[in-house]
Amino acid sequence: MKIYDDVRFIGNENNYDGYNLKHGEIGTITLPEIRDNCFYVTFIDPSFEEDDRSAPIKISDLELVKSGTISDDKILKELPKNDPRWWCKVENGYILNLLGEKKNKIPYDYNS
Amino acid sequence: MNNDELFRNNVADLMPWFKVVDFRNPLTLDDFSYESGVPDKVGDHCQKCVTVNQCYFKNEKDKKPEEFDYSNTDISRFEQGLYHPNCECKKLGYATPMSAEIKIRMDNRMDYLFDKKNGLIKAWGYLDSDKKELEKIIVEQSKNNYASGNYSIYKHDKYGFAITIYLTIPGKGIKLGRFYKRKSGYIVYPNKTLRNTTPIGGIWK
Repeated sequence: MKIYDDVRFIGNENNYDGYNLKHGEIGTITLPEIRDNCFYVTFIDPSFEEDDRSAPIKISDLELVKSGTISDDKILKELPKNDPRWWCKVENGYILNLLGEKKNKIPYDYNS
Repeated sequence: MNNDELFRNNVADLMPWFKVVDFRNPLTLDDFSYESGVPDKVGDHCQKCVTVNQCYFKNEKDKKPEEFDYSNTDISRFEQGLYHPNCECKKLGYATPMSAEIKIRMDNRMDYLFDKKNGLIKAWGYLDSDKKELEKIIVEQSKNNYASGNYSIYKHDKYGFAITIYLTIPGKGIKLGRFYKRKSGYIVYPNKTLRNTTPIGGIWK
């Protein structure tokens, strides 16, 4: 998972009070950096008339639907201050940065 | 605080714009925290104070972060901070910024827009080859409208203060002469920088 990938929200709606999220809906990751184990996900109104809804969503509450093709170079350009240390990808249960470092020790346990 | 900052702090409520500064906290939204980005608490500093640090806002209701209301509390005057008791954030007053001072980060947002809302964009007369032209329209209007205060606070979370800027997009080609009122979403970043999250959002009236 990384920026511009399509993801499905599989978490509990009650944990995201005020964001009006619906279990199973599909959105797109629209900011590259992972903050506090969350990706920033945007859900587009299909009629294009209402506001898009955006929310920071825990990685464990997201499921990859469609992977985009953005390169690491482009991700780097989107990161704050172009700092490669920001956590920005999730692969095989690990949170990674562009230096290849892993944030969590145990795969899929993002708090480890 | 130096003399200039002290003066700006004293006149902050009289000035049309202000910058929020926590002199004891070097961290902003832009700074990487190796542990977790901007979590609920960074050392002694709360999430709101980190996400607002060094950011500029117009000094009007709904265009700036809400300050703590001490009217029904018995918290002593010495403990009354800007956003919470003992908060160390200060407001420094500034004149209205010029639009040329505003920096907009679009990154690859136009690719996202043309991918996800291609039908809408085409209906306004824009082709895939018009991406740069439409980006310029969005960026210029966003700068002008933010500087003139034509925006409102949308929400706040660990990613920062999200604002809505109101745009009027001109139609192109067979839609020339038509105008489309749309919201654009940004996050306020330090030092007059806006980071786009939604180039074209819902309709505004």
